[in-house]
Amino acid sequence: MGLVRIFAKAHHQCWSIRDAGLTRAGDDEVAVYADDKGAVLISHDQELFDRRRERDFGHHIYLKCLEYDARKVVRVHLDEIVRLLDGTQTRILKVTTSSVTVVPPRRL
Amino acid sequence: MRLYSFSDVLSLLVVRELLNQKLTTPQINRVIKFLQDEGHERPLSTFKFAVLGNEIFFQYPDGLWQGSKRASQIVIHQVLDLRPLREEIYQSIENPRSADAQGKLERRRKVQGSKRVFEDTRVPVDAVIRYINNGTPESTILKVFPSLSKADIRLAKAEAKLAAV
Repeated sequence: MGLVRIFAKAHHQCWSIRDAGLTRAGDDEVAVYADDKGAVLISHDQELFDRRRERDFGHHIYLKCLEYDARKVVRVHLDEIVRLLDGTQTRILKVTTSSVTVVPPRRL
Repeated sequence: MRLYSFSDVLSLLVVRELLNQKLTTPQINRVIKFLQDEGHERPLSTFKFAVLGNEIFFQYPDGLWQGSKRASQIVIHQVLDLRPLREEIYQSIENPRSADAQGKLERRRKVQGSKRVFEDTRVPVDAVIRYINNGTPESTILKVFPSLSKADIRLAKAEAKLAAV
C-alpha cells in the first residue's frame, strides 16, 4: 500500500496484485497480467527475477531490499527508474538501497 | 438481501459513535431530519459531527459549526474522527478472505518461489516477520499488507518468536 501511494503521488498509476484480484495467481500469471496491461511488475522475489531474466518480456523491477525499506528505496530512485524504463519495451531493473541497474536477459 | 453502500455503512458507524457518546436516538434523529430538511441528502456521511455534553454539533461545508440547541457555538473537543470509521469499513471490504484461511500458512507452487505465504494471499510470512522484528506496530503492518488480518499477525509473531529461539 505504501508503494502504491508513492507512485500515485508521482502521478503514476499503480495497483497491487490484490487490487487486480490475483492473490491466488502464480508468479508467471502475474507477470503475464502485468505485461498485458503494459504495467511494470514490481517484486521482491529473487526467483521471479531470475525467471524473468530467462524469459524476458515486459518491464520488471526487482527490489533487492527488505520489504520494510521498499518505500524509502523507491522514493530515492523513482526518477532514475522512470528514466531507465521510459521508451523501452522490455527491461529488467534491479533496485537496491544504493543503485538502479539495468539487468541483461540471461540467454539459456 | 439489501446491499449497503459505503455511505450507508459510514452513516451507521457515525450513529453508533454518537450513541456511544451517550446521545439518544431521538436527539440524533432530530439532527438528521433538520439537515435533510435543509437539503442535505446524506448528512451523516458528509458532515463533521461533534459532541459537547449531551448536545450534538455539526459543521457546515463553509466551516460554521451549529449546535442542535444553540446556533454557531465554537466546538473544540470530541470531534468525531471519521478516519478510523473509514478504515474499519475498508478493512472489512478489503479482507474478503474466509475466516478459515486467516491465521494459516501455505506453500503454493510457483507463488513467491514456493515460500511460505499466508493462506489465500501472496504475502510471505518472512516479510511480515521482518516488520515485527523492526518493532512496527500491528496497525501499520495491517496497512502495509491489507489482505492480512489480526490472526495472521498473531501467527507471524509466533513464527518470529520461534525463529528467534
